[in-house]
Amino acid sequence: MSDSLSWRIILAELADRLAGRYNLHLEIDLQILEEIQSQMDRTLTEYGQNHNIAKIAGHSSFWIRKLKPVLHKNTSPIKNLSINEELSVFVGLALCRRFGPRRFKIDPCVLYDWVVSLRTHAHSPHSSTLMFELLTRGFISVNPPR
Amino acid sequence: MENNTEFFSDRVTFVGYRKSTFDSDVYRNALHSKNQKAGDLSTDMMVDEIRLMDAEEETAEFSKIMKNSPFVVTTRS
Repeated sequence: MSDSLSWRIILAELADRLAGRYNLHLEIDLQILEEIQSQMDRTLTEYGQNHNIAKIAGHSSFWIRKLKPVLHKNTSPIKNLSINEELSVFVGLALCRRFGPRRFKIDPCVLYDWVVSLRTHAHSPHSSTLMFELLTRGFISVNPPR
Repeated sequence: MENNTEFFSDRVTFVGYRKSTFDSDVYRNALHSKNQKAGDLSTDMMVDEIRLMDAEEETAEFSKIMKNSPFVVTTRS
């Protein structure tokens, strides 16, 4: 299921957009993409058939961030040191927004904190999955608001 | 193992070995053709979703924060 959703081409499409935004020249290592897919296949098996899009987003996000398939070319005038962390979040968000049960947006400051945390703190596939579970189906509206 | 360099766009290149299970041509063509399928991938609305996310005010604001962060650096003086 994870491969059928083709997180890899979403990553390439998003990398192209980030490259345009920051003026980056990027390379994506196909061998590392294979390794990420292999690790995802391994870590997603614990759920059996109980996949949902948040789990795929969480595990793809974690392994992209961990194995860092995107590199800067020598010709790149700018470097975004957190390019892999940023892409890992956006791949997960794109998957959840396209295939998840509801629409959501994230405050830009929280998004920045998320990227910084992925760059500097310890994370697991499960903690990443939890983030996407919260975004896709974790909040319940309370009425009336306090 | 054969070395391979393939351009995805002007700014992004795939590098690595040719014997990958990932056929970037098939996926890229499918992604940019509405309602096509590559394997089990339904590409319907995927590009639209990425475009939509890219154009949002929150994404622009986030990019502004990133550009002013210590993570984005120039490589030439």
